[in-house]
This record gives sequence, structure tokens and C-alpha cells, in this order.
Amino acid sequence: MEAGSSHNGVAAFLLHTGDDHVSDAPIISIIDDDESVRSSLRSLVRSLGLDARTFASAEDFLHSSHHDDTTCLITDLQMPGLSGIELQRLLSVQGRRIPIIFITAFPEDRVRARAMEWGALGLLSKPFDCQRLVELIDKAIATGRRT
Amino acid sequence: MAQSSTSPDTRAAKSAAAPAAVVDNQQVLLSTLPPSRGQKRLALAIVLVLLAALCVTTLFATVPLGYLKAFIPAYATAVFVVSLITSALLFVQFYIVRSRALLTISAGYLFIALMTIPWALTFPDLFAETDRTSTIWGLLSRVWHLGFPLFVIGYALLKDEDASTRRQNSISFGVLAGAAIVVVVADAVIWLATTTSVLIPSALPLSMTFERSQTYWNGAILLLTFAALALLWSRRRSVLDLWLMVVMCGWLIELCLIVLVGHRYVVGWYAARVYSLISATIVLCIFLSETALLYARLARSIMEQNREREARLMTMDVLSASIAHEMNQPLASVATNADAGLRWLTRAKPDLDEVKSALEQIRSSAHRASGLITSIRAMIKKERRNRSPVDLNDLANEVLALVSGELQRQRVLVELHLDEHLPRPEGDRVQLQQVLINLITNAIEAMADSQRPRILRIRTAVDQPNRALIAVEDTGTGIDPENLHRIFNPLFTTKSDGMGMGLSICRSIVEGHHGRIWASAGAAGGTVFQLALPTE
Repeated sequence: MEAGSSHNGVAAFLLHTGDDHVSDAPIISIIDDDESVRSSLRSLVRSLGLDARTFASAEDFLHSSHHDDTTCLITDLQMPGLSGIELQRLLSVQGRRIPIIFITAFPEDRVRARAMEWGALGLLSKPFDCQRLVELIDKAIATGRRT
Repeated sequence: MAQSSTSPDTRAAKSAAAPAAVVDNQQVLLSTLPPSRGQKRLALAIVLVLLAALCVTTLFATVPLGYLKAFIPAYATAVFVVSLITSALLFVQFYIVRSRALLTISAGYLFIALMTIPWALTFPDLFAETDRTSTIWGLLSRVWHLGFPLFVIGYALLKDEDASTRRQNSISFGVLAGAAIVVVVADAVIWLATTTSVLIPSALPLSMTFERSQTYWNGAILLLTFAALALLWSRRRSVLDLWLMVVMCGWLIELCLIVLVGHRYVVGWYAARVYSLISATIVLCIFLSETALLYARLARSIMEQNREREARLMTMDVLSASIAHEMNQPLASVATNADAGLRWLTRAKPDLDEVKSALEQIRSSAHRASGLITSIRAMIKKERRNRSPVDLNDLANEVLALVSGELQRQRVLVELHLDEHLPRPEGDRVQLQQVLINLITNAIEAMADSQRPRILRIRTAVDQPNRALIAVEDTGTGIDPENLHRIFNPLFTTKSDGMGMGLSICRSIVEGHHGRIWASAGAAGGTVFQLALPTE
């Protein structure tokens, strides 16, 4: 995807809704055990005019009702309990193809390769480039709209 | 890291206990390394055996054996080769240490080697006995015997000279100059010997002239040899000094026998040469083996150092990764909030409340990051704050009380050998207790699967001046020697459920106390962990 067109999906969506209080906007689920990272991501996603749902753990996400209507999942890799990779496997086994963007403070080539192999949309190292994250979210929304 | 010590006994103890700590540059050479107790004993034994042989030989020293034609050429060749190799070995030492004393002694050996050839060639009965050859031989023989003690005396006098007064000339020049001077001197002696014999009046048989002066010559040679030995003894310090003394003893024994018997081709005459050759050869062998051993020790210590550096890098790696992980969280929050804030601000309808909340989050994340740095600093500082003198004996008893339940359950017998006069190292009591608990728990675990009697030996001692040692020995299954040096590395474990952090942390703590911790195979199987702490 070229940089020029990367914003079009979100921009088109914003034009469509025109307002950040949306109930039928795509839902972006955010899982991170660090509260400050979680809330900053929520703010960022909401500033894009999207609906954000935050969870402190993979288990919280799975037990919520949002794992069915999530358009894009942003999750930390290292978390107490279920790790990001394990969550990816679980969703894949259950046949739920949610586009996943991993974020990690501890980037490891081996883990990155494994995540991408299992169909992750991307893996970003903390602190990440927000522009890149927005591009990936954009891509996920475009994918969701096609299916 | 073990401090290098000049005391030979502690050196021996150290090399037995801990293979190759970092070896001081000046501690690895023949000319600077103090001899170990074993070497001293060996040297004494060799001298005693030579003395005993001398005593036995004197009983039938004058028994004639007849002229063995092959003896002198064989003897001369052996002396030539042995002296030349010793000389080369010592020249190499000079090349490294650059001390003039070493240059002198290597020149001395070269001198012996060079003198042997004309000495053997002019040996009266080898080709044809004439007055002339006999006289030349007599002269060469004396110069030879006088020359070497002089070189040894020169060595003994020069060897303590200060390093700063050493010449800064090129070393190769030193070697070449030394060798050249010796060659010139030897040639001059030979030339003098051959020419003076012609000048002496022929009315008096030349051999008689020499026989008359024989006593004086012998006296002078004996005196010089004694002087050399005495000087070496009074200034003895290194391995080289020790073995040069053995050589001088062999030399003295040879002289004594020759003076005693006074004739050629008797038992004493042959024995004298054989004894001095034997002592010279033994010394050469010891120099060679010592050099090889020192080389091996040096190579091992370099490998050890490399491993240690790797292990430390590994520890640093783990630590820096965990710090990076902790720091990246607030940084990610700051960056994301800043980006979100900008987006809220640049929307068609800016949402100032969202901007405000993003800025507030940035502020708190920044504080969190700075708090993290403060706590890392505090952690490092705290290590030094809680230092006080620690009684290792009390500590051992405390820890044994803590693990007494486990000891009973596993039916482990405890043997305590505590040194009551153990000095108290300065340390963090809690941290050292952690180390000891770790070592003792490991020892109990190591014996859990062992069918042999389970004995836990705890020993405290002063193993070096200003160093307290505590040793924890088990009679367990032992550790594969290949793994002994790796067990202190982070993430290395031989346990099925271990994390591999225990011993790594132990080492960090001990090294934080400027101490050392190491493992070795126990005397009765099992493993000994020893931990040494400076007490000054």
C-alpha cells in the first residue's frame, strides 16, 4: 500500500460519519497489560473516529462479547497469562480471522517471524511509529470491508 | 578476581583451588615466578641424591676403569646440546623480560656450549697426547670451569636491578650483542690457549707447570662456585634461581670428585662428569616443562577471561533487555499520546478535552520513566549501603537452621569445620545469606538422587592473607567437568525445572563484594562450591 492512499480508508470513513461518536463504526480492540499504553492507544484510535475497546489481558478479551465484532485487534506480545502469540493461535484454531497488529517492548526476530507466519498484519516495537500503526489499522478496515 | 601474591605457598594453594585466575604478567616467567613448595622439594631431593651419589662414589672413586674412547666425545656433545638449548631458552626469557641478568646467564650457557668443542678436540688422549694439546686442554678446562660461575655471579648481582634502569636498546640487539661477545671471548680464550703454550719455555715440561698450579686453579674454581651458590641462595626468589642453585650444586660435586681423585679414567673421574651432566639435563627438562606449563596456564587464563567477559556481557544483555522493556512502556505511551493529541487538535472540530487528557497522560508517563531511572540508581546504591562486618560462621549456622527441615527430610548429615578465628569480611548480610542458602539448597538437591551417604560439609578458613573462605561440599552426583565453568552463566541450568538464574545471581552478589565464587569436583565425588571474600 502506498503512503498516499494509506489514509483514504479512515478518511473516507470519517467523511462518512462526520462525528467521533459512532455506534456502528469499526471496533478496534486493544489488549495491553500496561494501563498507560492501553489508554494512549484508545485515545489514538478514537482520534481516528473509530470505536476502541480496551482489555488488560487476552483472557478479558476472549470473555468479552467484542471478540466477535472486532474489525482489528491490537495486542501486546508479552502479557501475564495468555501471550499475544497464543491468542493468535487460539483465534485461528477457532476459525476467527481477525486482523492482528502486535506491539512489543521486547522485539525478537524469532517471535516476529512466527507471528507473521501465522498471518499477523504487522508487528511494531514500542515506542512505535503511530503513522505506521494508522496505516495498518487502515489496511485491516479495508480487508474487513471486502469480506 | 584473585590477587596475585608473591608468597610461593599461597600461589600453590591458589593454583590448586582455582584453576587460572588472571595471571599477572610478571608472575608467569621462569625468572620472576616464585617456586612452589613442590619444586623446592624436588630441587632439594635432586641435590640430596647427587650428594648421596657423591658419598657412594668416593668409596671406590680411585678404581681405574680404563680409557673409554667414546666417553669424551659423547659427553662433550651432550654438554654442548644441553647448554645450547638452555641458552636459547634463557635468551627467549631475556627477550621477554629484558633484564640484563637474564642476558648474562644465557650468555654463560652459550659460553659453556662454545667452549665444549675445543675442549673436546684438544682432549689429550682423543687424537694424540702431546704436551701442547695437553696444555691447551688444561687451560680450556680451567677457563671453562672458571667462566661459568662468573656468569652466574653476574646474573645474581644483576637480577634485582630495578626495571626502570633497564636499557631501552632494541632487544634483538641485546641478544645479538650478548651472543657476539661470548663468541669473541670464547675465540679469544682458545686463541690465547693455543699461542701461550708455544711461548712457555720448553725446558720445563708444560704439563708439569700446570700440575703445579693445579691446586691454585682448583681452589679458585671452588671458591668462585661457592660464591655463586651463596649469592644465589641469599638472593633466591624465582624458579630460575632455584634451579641454577641445583646446577651449581652439580657443578660443585663434579669439582669435588675431580679434585679428590686427581687421576683420569677412574670411577670418580667418569662419575663427576656424569653427575654434572645429569644435573644440567634435569634442570633443562624442568625449564622446558615449566615453560610449557606456564604457557598452558596462560592460555587457560586467557580463555577463562574471555568466558568471563562473555558471561558478563550476557548478564548485561539480560539486564539491559529488562531495562529497555521497562522503559519502552512509558515511552510508547508518550509517543502514542502525543500523536493522538495532535490528531484531536487537527480534526475539523478540535477536541480540547481529549488533547488535555493526552497531555496529562504524557506527563504521568514521563514521571514514570524518570521514577524507573531513580529506582535503578537506588538499587545500585543500596548494594553498598548495607555493608557491615559479617561473621561467616554465624551465617553458616543461621542458614543451616533455616534449611534444617529439608536436611532432615533428605537425611543429610552435616559436617561443620568452622575456623573460630575467621576474620569478618565487609558485606551485605542478607545478600550473602541468599548466596549461602542457594549453595546449600543446591547441595541438598544434588544429593537427592544419590545412593551414597549424603554428607554436607561446610568449612570456613583463611585461605589467603586477608581472605575468608567458605566452602560447601556435597557427596552428590557431581557436575560434568565440561559444565563446571558454565554453571555461573545466566540461563544455564542442569536441573529439569531450573531457571538457571540462581548461581548467576550468586556470582553477581559475590563479585559485588569484590569476592570470588567457583566450583570444583569434590574429593569424594560431588561438588565443592567455594566463596572467598576479602577481609580488608
